[in-house]
Amino acid sequence: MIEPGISEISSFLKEKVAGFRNDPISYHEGKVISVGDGVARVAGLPGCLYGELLEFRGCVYGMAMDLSADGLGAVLFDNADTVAIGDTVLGTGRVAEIPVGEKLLGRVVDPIGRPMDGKPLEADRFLPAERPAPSIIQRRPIDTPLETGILAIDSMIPIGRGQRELIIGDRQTGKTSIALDAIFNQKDTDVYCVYCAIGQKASSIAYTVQTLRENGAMDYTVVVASPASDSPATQYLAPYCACSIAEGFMQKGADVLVVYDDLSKHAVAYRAMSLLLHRPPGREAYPGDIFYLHSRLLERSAALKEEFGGGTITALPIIETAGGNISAYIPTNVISITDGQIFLENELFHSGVRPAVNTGLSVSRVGKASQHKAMRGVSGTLRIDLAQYRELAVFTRFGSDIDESTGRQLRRGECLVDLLKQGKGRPYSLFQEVSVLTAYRADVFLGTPSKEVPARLEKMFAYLHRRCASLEKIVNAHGEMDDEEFEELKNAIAAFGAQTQQ
Amino acid sequence: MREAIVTVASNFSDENYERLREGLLRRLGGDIVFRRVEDESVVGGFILRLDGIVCDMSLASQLKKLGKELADD
Repeated sequence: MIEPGISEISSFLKEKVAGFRNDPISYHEGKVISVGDGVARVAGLPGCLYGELLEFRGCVYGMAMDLSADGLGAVLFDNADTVAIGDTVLGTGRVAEIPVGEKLLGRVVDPIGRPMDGKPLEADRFLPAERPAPSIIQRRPIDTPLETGILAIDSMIPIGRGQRELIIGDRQTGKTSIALDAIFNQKDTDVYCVYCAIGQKASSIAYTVQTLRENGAMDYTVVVASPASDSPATQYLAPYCACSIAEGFMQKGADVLVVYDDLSKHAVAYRAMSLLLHRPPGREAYPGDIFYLHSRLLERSAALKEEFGGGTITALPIIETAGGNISAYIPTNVISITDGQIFLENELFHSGVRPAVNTGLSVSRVGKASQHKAMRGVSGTLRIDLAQYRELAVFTRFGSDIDESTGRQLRRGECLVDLLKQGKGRPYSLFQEVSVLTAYRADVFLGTPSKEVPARLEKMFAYLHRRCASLEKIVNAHGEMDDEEFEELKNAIAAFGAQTQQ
Repeated sequence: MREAIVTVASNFSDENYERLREGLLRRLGGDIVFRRVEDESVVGGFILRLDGIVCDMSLASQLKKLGKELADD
């Protein structure tokens, strides 16, 4: 590059300055009439957009929520201490935006897009937080599985790319663990992940980020965090921002997994905001548009047609119930919006069945289309087997004499329950999942005491890894196997069973 | 009666202020009371506030605008 000389610079400047027109700079200005509880009433600012960012004195930002002829109601994002009556308010002409793109990977940001991990963030692309959902024309049917690495889910409640699957359960039943395991399992795949923490304790968020980092998951994950100390407005914005970040990846044709942890707290934050804005309360004091709040968020998950980019957003919203009551207001809302739910039960969790998935109440409405062929072949009767076992177990609880076939069915059921138990942070590959189910069907683990099942499973995985290495590769890569290959797997598992028979 | 607030630097002479006031009154129509506010950050020129609309003719803002235009190219 040629360095410009001083004369060139000065002539350039002269030209620019000569061409400068000192037109008046005119804009609208509002005035704060009242402020309190994170909500400010502002007079003036005609032509303000719904959801427009407003700048208050002292670099405090707010969002215009209630527009009326005589002014507007704005929710404040930051501490409102510095906002006083009579302060001037400026419209920014922009709605709330969030930086998107690959530069966010590995980062923790707040819903305003400010980095929370102490490093600078250079973003080149921004998207508004609120965006319309893809239209019907742009969507295609869900046909690709999203593997969570959790056997109970991948076999019985399969999740497809572009699906919305709710994780619902009481507190301390492993909801976040399932979501995190699903994120860990996307390692070495082409799936990006976005984890959105809404209204959680800052300590929990720090722990989650730490766990993600330790498992090497931050390389392909963005965390959007709005801890409980944030204003309701910030918490309200968080999932929409997370979704926009996901859409930033989806527009480039990528597959994205988004976890909203959790939407019950999001609903509570929105309720607080609405009540402070004097919107009329409805059932349980939630505002009238509480259903729309979540439906417009979850509708933005989609599987796009190839000509529209071809990306997908899979959403795993989380809802916390109280006392296992899934028929409360917010849970029923979100259940009806999503394409299925994974119901986690306290009782199961404490009896040692982890993940504590209640297979009777859990469902995936996308179904077998979102399952690998290899898995489809071996998981067919699993749900029925489990349901029959549970029914039998209840009936025979007090009976002493059980006939031979009933006893066998009970033992097989117990064995299946043991096989479906899976440690936290120990995802199975597709081949491993298929081999566990094949082993169950061949009764290889029948009679193995519960405590010894995990160790024996690991032994089987190691054995199969040695003996069927090429088959393992084929199944993991293509998700299907022909009859011959299936026969090979069955033989290997039978041989393992015979070899380690107690 | 509408109130117009004119912000000027403190060295803005009374004579100039009077001329400005008359000029503005002629353009904006009558029925306006003017209030003079002094603010050093204006540097030169004036800022007029009327009915929630701000018209900024201050030297400070104009220079800022010029600086931005030069930086953008």
